[in-house]
Amino acid sequence: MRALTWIERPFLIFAFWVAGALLPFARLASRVGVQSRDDALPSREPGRAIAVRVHEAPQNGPDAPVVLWFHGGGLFLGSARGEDVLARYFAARLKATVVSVDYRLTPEYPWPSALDDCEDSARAAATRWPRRPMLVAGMSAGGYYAIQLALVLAHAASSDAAVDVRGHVAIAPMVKAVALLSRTYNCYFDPLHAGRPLHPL
Amino acid sequence: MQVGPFTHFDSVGACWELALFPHRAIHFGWSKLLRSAPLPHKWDWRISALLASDDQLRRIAPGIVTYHHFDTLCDEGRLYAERLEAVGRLAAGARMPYPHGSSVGMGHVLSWAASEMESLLGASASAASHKT
Repeated sequence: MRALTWIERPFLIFAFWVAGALLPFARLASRVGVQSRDDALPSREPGRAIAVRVHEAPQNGPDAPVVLWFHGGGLFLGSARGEDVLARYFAARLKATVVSVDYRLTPEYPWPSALDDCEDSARAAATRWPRRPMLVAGMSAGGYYAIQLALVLAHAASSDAAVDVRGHVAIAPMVKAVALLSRTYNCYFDPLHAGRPLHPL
Repeated sequence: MQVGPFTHFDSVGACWELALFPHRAIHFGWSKLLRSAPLPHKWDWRISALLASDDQLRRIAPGIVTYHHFDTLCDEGRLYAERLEAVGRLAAGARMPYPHGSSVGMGHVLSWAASEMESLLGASASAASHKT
């Protein structure tokens, strides 16, 4: 095995440090006995299911909250399984059922595929776990989808297909949907900044 | 054990700066995602919550938002939290002294978020019992 280069060593140390920082959270989930399993929820497209990871604390009652969790990854990376530690922590701490959604990623699936997956999973979760309070939550790109889903569900609140969401949680979310294309694009066409220049790319 | 969205990504060694979530990664994500979206002058709340009107934001479920000081996304997170606060829909918001992602300071962020989620669920339960 070759020796690590000077540039690789700090990253190895950093990786151990990160794993160590998350260890107490993994321990809490283990101590509480959170059960995790792969599952699937129906989507609006016939014949296609949305893969999810379901994490449940054993002492969940009939009123236990349901947390719909969306993983991070800059809209193009990541997976539900990749954030098992975080989802299991919330399941243990909130005594909740945490449903971590494997939404479709770009560039293979552009807008609004992932958002459709989020909305479909929320509706399916409300059907599967009825009369339980629901939160939608996510980190980074998952925060973006949690916010957008909360907006979509608020928009549909007066319709027959309403889903009762008690709150949304966005941890370091992507929100702005700009920083696209080029500097001139940002200067002249950014609808959020009304023509004021942004940082150059 | 996979500890974050980037750790199982094979090219992390080649693109190590991705872990810091720089502009280039954000640019890539948005540009690929929105290539099928309407032209920018037709964007609305379906693309970004910052484009939602105050009336639309008033109807949204209460929000818990963190934005991280050493993060490229800090400003937009703060902007969103301020919009929610202005319309009375911010349940809790916090500026965390950490970088982006599931690494430094994540313990503090998770504990804080879980506490606020407990409070939010408790408040909504008591509101529901008052209604009945």
